[in-house]
Amino acid sequence: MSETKNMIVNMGPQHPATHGVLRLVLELDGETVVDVTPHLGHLHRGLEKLAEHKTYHQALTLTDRMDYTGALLNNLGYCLAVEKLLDVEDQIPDRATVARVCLCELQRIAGHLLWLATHALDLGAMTMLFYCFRERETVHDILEEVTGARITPSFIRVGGLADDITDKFIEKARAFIKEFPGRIDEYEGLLTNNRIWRKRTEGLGIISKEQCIQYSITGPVLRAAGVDWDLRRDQPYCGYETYDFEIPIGTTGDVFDRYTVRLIEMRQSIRLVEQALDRLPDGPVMMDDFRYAPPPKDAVYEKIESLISHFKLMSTGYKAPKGDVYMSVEATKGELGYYLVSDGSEKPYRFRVRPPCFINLQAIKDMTVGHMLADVVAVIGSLDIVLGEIDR
Amino acid sequence: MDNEEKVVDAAQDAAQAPEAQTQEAEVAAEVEAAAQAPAPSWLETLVEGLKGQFGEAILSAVTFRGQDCITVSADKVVDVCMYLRDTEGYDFAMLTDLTAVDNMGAKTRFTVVYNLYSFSQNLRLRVKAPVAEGADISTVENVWKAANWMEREVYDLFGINFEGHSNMKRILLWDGYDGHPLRKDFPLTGKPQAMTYR
Repeated sequence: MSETKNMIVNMGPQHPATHGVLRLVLELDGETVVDVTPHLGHLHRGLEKLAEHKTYHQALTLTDRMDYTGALLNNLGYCLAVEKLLDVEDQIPDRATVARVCLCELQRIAGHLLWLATHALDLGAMTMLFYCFRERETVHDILEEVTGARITPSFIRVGGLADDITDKFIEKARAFIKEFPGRIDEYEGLLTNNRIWRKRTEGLGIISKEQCIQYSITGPVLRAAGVDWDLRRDQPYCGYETYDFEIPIGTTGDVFDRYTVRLIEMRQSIRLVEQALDRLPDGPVMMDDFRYAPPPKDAVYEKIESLISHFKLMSTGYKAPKGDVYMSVEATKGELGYYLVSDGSEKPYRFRVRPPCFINLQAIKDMTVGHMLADVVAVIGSLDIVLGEIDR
Repeated sequence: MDNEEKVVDAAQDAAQAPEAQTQEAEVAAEVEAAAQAPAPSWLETLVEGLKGQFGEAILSAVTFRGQDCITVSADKVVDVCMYLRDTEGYDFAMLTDLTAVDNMGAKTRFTVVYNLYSFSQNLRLRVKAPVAEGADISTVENVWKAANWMEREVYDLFGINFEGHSNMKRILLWDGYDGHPLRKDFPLTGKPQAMTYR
């Protein structure tokens, strides 16, 4: 028998199954993976550096561009961090808080739908792409109705929301949550008991509870490994503790468990949207602390004081007290945290994002070594990475 | 505005940034003026335990906006992390985040910041370690595996070297990149770079 040696294969950065510009250098023994080395940074834009040169208000737009499948959740995390720094958390109007939950849960559904569509496509189930994008389109239409943008809304602002949510939005959202559970049943009908799907996903990419915690893995990947932990319940923000929802957890921590967990999460998000819509109170959607929040638009047109205040806030920005805060939210991919350091000026002295995808991806070697080359694609899909956030 | 900052226990420390010291002095005055509110007891107990173990290495403990933070000297950071991870009642099993701050102009230029989370206590704790420019700090890779990439990122963007790290290479920028972009003296527009990346 002739001698064999391992082969080095370069996967990406231009590879459809790496979900962006991830480059993996794989060492293969035949078709079995021996080593994986991720190379990151192809999409690095220096977002943290840029944010240090923008006012607190301007830096918000940068957050949209990290995880572009869950922009509203990025906005929310950032705004909560700034609100904590400014110590105005109590002043956020109820309507804004409830609307935030509603918008963010819709965004979570859209994020999970994109994951399901591409993950299934990677594994050969093309129909899923069309089905999921159909519903994702509906969600984006709903979000566009109120935010005016589909991917980069920058709608959640420090102090509340950019604008009031409309009756048409509520109507559309209600129609969607009525229809969507049936759609999830459809997806499940196509995949859950599909023999090909199960063979491609079960027992693959297993990671244990202990390993997850060692690697700081958060979000659905952590829950699939059996850790019952969700920031919405354990470190609640936006009043999540008052909502009724369940947190799905897996048992084996394989690719199939991550799929199940995310599907249940979508169902729970529907419940949350429904509850938020039911309890939506009347009132303003922006706090009236005019040190930080812009005055209402009609006042800007009519009163000179409001005009000056608006101009000041939008041009020079407001000064934040000295100190540092860390605030995190449960984003679609895991714990999305913002660590802000203020030196007392209008701009963040240090703007640090705790990127869930970057940290989750670190475990890819543990998940893929010993499996086949084709399984690497399934594992990447199940991690639900977005390179905009990994590289920032 | 009423700052809720309370100095729980601030040891006089020469190594700390002068900026932070004046801030602490201000806060101490404020605390004196205000009615003495009961401090969060767990942090006090934690600092007491840590001082018993590490003495002078525990520099200060501060609560700001309800978030607890301790400052430790850089040479003891691995031991302190081990203690925090393994001591019953704290169990800081997860390194949520590891990053750095460039305090350019201060006596010790950098601060490495560890954000810890304890599942059993549902608590967060921030640990800061001041590091001078050009000085090394030990890696906490052996405490939490997650530190591997996070420390590489800090090395890449700040140029802080982590001693004992298994793979101290740039992670976001390419090998041969000139400079460390998140340093305050690095221009926002960047520097002209030779494209050594294949």
